[in-house]
Amino acid sequence: MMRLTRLSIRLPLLIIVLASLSICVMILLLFFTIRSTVLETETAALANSLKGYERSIDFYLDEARSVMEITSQGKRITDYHFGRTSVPVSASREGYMETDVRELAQSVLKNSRLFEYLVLLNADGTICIMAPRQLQQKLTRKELAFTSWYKKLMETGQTITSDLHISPATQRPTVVIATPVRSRNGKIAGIWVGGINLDTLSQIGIPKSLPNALINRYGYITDSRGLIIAHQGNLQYVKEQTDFNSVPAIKAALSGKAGTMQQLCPIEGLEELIAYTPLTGMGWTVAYVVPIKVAFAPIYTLMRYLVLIGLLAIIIMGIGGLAIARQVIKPLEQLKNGAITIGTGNLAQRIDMASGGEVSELAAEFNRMAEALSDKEKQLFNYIRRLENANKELEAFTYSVSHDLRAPLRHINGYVELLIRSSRNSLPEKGIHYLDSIADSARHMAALIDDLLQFSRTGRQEMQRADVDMNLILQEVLQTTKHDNPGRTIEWSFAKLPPVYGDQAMLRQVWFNLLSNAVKFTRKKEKAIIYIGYREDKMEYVFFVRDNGVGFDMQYAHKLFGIFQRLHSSGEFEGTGIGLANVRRIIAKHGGRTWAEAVLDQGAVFYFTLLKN
Amino acid sequence: MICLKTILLAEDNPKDVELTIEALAEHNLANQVVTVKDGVEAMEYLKYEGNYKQRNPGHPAVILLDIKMPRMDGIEVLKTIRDDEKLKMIPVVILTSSREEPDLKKCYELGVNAYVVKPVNFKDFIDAVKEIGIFWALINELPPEVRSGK
Repeated sequence: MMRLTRLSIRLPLLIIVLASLSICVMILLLFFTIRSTVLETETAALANSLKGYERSIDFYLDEARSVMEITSQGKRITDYHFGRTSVPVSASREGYMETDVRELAQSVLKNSRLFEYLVLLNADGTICIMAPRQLQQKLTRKELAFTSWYKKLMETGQTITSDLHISPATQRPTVVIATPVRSRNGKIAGIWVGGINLDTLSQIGIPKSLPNALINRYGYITDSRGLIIAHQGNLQYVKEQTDFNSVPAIKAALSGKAGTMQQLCPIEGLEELIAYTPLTGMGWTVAYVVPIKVAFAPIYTLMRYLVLIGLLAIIIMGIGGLAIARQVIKPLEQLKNGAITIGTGNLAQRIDMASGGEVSELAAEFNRMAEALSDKEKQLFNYIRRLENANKELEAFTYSVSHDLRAPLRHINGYVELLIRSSRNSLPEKGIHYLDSIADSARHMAALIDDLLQFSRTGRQEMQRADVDMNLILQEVLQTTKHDNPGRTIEWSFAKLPPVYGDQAMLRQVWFNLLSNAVKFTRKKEKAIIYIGYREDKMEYVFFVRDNGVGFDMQYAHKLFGIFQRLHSSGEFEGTGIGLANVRRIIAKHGGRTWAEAVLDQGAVFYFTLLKN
Repeated sequence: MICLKTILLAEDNPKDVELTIEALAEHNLANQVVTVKDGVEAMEYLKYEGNYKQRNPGHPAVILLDIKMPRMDGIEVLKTIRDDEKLKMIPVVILTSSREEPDLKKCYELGVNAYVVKPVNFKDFIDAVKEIGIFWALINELPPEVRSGK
């Protein structure tokens, strides 16, 4: 996942994604455009096909009806005896015989492909003649008065086209055209019925040259109940009297509407485009269908090519993107390498980029920054060198002070001592006193030098911080202090002190200086009382040393921690006055504060603070 | 035969030399002191070179070295002695004006035998020099190589 944040991966990826997206959108747009166009043309073509189909069906059925009506008015039919007992026997006679009717029927069947049989009925619905003759012998029943077409015909006296039903002769689904036969007085004497061959009806509109397997657009006809009468695509539907009433388009057509729609055919289970219309005058419907699969077949082929081309385009764009990314990233890489070199401290490095553009500007800014950094570094280096020099000089100074200043003092002391030894007897009392004073001053100066050196050393010393047990170092310091001041009566008391984090040696020095001071300035008391305690607040501990010594005037408290500052004469209390200055310096190095409170002749408290943790 | 134990004192300051010899004299050790003014002379003495070509053979019982000297300082002398196969056994005592910690540390790293800060107080100085003289020149036993001076 980390790799994905790299520009060299992200840029080509972005280009590929963008390219894929745009190509996908393009393909989709193309698809929908083509689809709607195809849909439009297909629908228009379908409507045309339907019109043609409807016209031919109309034509054939009209023709069939005409044939029936015309023949029904011929003498051979009208003059048929219809079961009358007085029958004319010859051609010159007044009535026609069965043979005449059969002759007519034969010629009709021969000339019209549509009819498969013809029947002449009595007015009461009984079959008189059925042609061809062999069908008459197969008849299962002769009374047809129960059929709806018979009833309708008798009711209206018009030619009737029936709905689908099983023929009592062929035992197959059939549709009949029945027309009334009227006697001379206009009464219905009988009925002339033509059985339509549905197979033939189904063939109407199919070009003869087209094999059945290739019929992918087809028309069909249903009767007024939605049962299939004729089907160009599948004769099985006819044979099985399949009910297309559930097909939405047929439902619409049955209710008298015409139009086109896209639907899921519940019979075929396929998505299809369908044009439909009621067939005028008969309550039948005609529909013409093309399955979507068929209509869109060319689109699907096209889409396959488009997708292939799209994939190719994406691959090409990906490669192109990689190349572009490399070109974009190359100066960035250069910039990065330059930055790394500069970042590792080589401030003299400059990034060379002449290509122009934003990256170049960035590189220029980068160079300017490196320039500025380099300047600052030089400056800093100068400061450091000066500081180092100053420090070195200081060290040399203290070194030479410690070596060179002490030597003459030692010499003064040595020669004074030698002089006293060699000339004690010849020197007056005063002379001896002078020499003693000289030696004393030299010693005092040596002590001052030593203290000064130590003070300067404390300032320069590196702190070595660790956890410090204050109780432990305090006990050590106490031992030393007691050892240095034999014969004193001192009442010591301590609180248990918390551990701190600091430089152990330095803190020991602090305690030593404070305790020595307390002991020194309680010297005049018969019984010295020294208490060491602490208190704490949120941030820090406040340690203190309290004594009942001579104290000092609070007016001069601010001078107390200064170097070589003394609030008592050296005759009264010895010392150079460096101890508290050292304490302050050490505590300040630890980030703490120092102060003191006192009442003259009653005692003093010295405080210092250390941060917790 | 009584072995005369020499003390080599390297000290550039004549007053220090005088005071040191004065201190040693209090304990009758002054006659055995050979004084040189700097590190170069000290090395010449030890290696029988320059003015000391004809000197009596034998290494000193102890060398008292001041640190601050012209030409070659005490620490350089100490290092040269310790690097020299023939001289490295000779006891060396640094006798100096102050205890600067870097010096102290360096001397011990180079294998000094003692490091003594000259006290300002002359009485203390006499005591210190006396102790050094008595210890190194009289009490301390030297390895045979140093005694024979080879």
